[in-house]
Amino acid sequence: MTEMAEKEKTDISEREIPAGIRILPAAVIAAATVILAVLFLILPVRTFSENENRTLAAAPAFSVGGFLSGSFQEGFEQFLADQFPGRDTWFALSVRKERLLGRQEINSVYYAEDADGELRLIDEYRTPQNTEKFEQAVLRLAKGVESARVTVLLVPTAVTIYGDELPAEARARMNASQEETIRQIFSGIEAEDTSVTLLSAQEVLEQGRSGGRNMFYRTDHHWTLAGAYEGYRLLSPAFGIEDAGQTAGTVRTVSGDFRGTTWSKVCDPEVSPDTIEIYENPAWAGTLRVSYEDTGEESDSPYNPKYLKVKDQYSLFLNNLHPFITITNPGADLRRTDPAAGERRALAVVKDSYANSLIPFLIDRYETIYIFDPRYYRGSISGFVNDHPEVQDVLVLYNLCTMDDDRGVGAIK
Amino acid sequence: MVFSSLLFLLFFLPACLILCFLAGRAAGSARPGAETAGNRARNAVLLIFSLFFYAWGEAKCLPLLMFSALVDYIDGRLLEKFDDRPGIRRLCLAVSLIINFSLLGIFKYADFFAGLANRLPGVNLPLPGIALPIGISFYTFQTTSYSIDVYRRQVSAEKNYFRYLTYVSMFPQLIAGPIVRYRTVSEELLHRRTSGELFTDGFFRFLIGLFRKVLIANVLGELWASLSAAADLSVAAAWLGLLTFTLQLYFDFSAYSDMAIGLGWMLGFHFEENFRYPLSAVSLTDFWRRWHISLSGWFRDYLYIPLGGNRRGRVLQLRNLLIVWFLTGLWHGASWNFVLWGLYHGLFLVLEKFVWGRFLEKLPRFFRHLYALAVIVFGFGIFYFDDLSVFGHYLTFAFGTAGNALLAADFLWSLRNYFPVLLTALVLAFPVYPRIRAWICSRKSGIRRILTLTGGICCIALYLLCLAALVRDSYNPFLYFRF
Repeated sequence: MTEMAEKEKTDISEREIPAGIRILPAAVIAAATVILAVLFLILPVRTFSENENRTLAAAPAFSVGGFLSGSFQEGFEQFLADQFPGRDTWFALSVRKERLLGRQEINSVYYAEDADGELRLIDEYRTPQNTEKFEQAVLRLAKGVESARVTVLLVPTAVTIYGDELPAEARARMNASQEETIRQIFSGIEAEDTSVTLLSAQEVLEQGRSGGRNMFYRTDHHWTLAGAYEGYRLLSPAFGIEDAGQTAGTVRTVSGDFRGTTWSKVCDPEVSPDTIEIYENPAWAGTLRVSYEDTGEESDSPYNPKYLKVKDQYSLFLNNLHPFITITNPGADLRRTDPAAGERRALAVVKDSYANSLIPFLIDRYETIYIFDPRYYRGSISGFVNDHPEVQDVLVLYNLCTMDDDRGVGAIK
Repeated sequence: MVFSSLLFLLFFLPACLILCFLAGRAAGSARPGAETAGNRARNAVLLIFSLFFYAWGEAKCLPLLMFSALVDYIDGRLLEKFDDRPGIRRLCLAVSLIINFSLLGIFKYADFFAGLANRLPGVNLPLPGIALPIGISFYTFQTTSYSIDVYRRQVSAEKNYFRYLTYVSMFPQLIAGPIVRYRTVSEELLHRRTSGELFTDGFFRFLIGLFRKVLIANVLGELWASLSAAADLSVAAAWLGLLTFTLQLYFDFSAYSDMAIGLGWMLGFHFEENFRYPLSAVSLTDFWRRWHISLSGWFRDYLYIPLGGNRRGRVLQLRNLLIVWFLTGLWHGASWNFVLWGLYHGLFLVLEKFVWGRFLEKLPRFFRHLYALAVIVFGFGIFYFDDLSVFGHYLTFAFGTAGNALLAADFLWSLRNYFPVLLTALVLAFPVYPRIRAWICSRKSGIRRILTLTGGICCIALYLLCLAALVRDSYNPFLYFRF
């Protein structure tokens, strides 16, 4: 009996976890840590992350005040995370881990998947808060504009057009209906002012999608050229444009490696990049003039290909953000279905960035297009339109997200 | 600074460990029984790193920490000097306690008390708006425990202020416990033995804490953040939310203690365990033997027993329990919901003691677990919502009185996205790991080696995932920071 107890005792002491075998992984971890620390110290500082599309933190300047308030410490920890050796790889690793554990939402970005298993990233959509503000902006503008006709085009985003690719529970979580929001806004405007033409792009985008074309980028919050084209076709009857389905120009693919703003929130290599197409008309050559008032730039094309070399490739359309742009095309096709309305020579567009890829189609149909970005344009748009009698159409174009959260909307007048 | 940060992992900890190691090898030997030069140098390194650690988080409040330590250091010396003068000793202790709790009162509860006073008619005090100094609740309890222990002659006074400050400010336990008592580490402050084996144990203990914090608590925190902010919840999702918060809090806080204990071992200190799988408790009485042990031990030794404990009849015992649980709640924060949470636990302890404790013991184990978990989870609802009306609103979801669905997409969505982490958390909340370890130890030598190595490789992988999560700057709060 005692013997057995003795034997058991030795067995247990032998049964400790062997020390040497534990030191090995510990040493690997310690070595990796020290190597990363050294790499952080010797590697050059990166100023911008293409992947995340943002400026990376630089080393904060030390000051006693900053140390006492804690702002130095905060800045330093941000600097350390931003300049961590191989940041992009770590970022991707972390997102991969979450995906493998079943996450379908990361950083408020939802993973949608079509029947072929191709992924699409969709930004979270929340019940809009500022629909009234938008209605008021449109009514203000319509009231101010004396003779031109005002048309509103609201564009639902991918969450509506490709909502069925989302997991069912995600759809239920984002149950705010853009269709319903559009209906409410339109009835709000109609109740006050029946002269405004109100258009929703939902139906045409859905049709375009069932036609087998991709209406929205998979990695970005914008619509594609195909989506914008559907928007253009929807607008044409309102503007009295004849043969709107026909385009004189051609479509060209300019990029196959576009990873947009939605992708930048997750930086997930599993999601394949988008292609970007642009619309061009050979007739523009030599006559088209695009002028950007703020920078004084002049161009003979609505595209700036320099943006294809950077991350934010969508900025290629109309050269990113500008408060006021004038496009003149002396060779425009002015045929209209409604001769009584006179020749529609000029168009004013009040818009967010969705319009940037749609406007190239309109270039063919107007001699002059004035483009206002209310976020930056501080003057009175209706005043401008009234001073330019050649403007016979005013287009207000917003997507359902910017309609709600764009600071510029309140400034439209 | 927090342990789960890149700065701590990449620079602070390696530098501290290397310098401590080098300092420990410093030449010179001391008289037998006295502190060696090597140990003195190690303590100096530890003190400097600890003060820097605190200053990194709250530089302005560093003088407060040093002052608080100074008060009790002097107090300890006086208590020893006037060893034979009971009147002076009582006075010394009283002064120390008054200063300590006044500081805590001012820096933690000023707004709370002013707000209370303002409820009286004719009183309109301005709210001071003092920001809570990090860790004050923890170090105040440490320094008072020291003074009381010296008063009770349970430990002799520390002769050296800097050594005492090293104890109070020691970074592993400085800002979120465990509440280490001086007598636990007084020997090791003078001479501590480090060994490769203890260091390796501490290394893995720290890593496990890091994994529990970064890969479990933070992820659950994300889920709870989305559920607690939802405008509408199904009954199932509301309960899942409360369970998630309970798991998050447990993993967050116990992971911090794991890391603290692991760091202690690496540095040659032995702190007492602070958590023993509290969510596997079979009753609330059991829960409090397992949850934040260093806090409940403090209240037991320095409040409940001095008040007379259970030795003076039932009425006084009930009074004592009321005081202890009122203050235990209040310790967690200057807000009524914490008080309510403390009293809620006190109530269940009393009920178990006097009403249904016997009955509980006869129940099958499964139901006892279920009972305890339900009470604990509901309790953490009180704990989380500092606005009781918001909690009331949340409860309308939990009990389905808001006209909400029993089960809806929000519940399924939460499971779809978080199931592996939730399941892992639930399993690890029970003492599974020690069993696995015992099982591995019971295997044959070869298998044992292979399993140990596999475990080590998993640790490497998990460590890389932790770094990745920290680099991505994902959700990383420390819940017990507020206390």
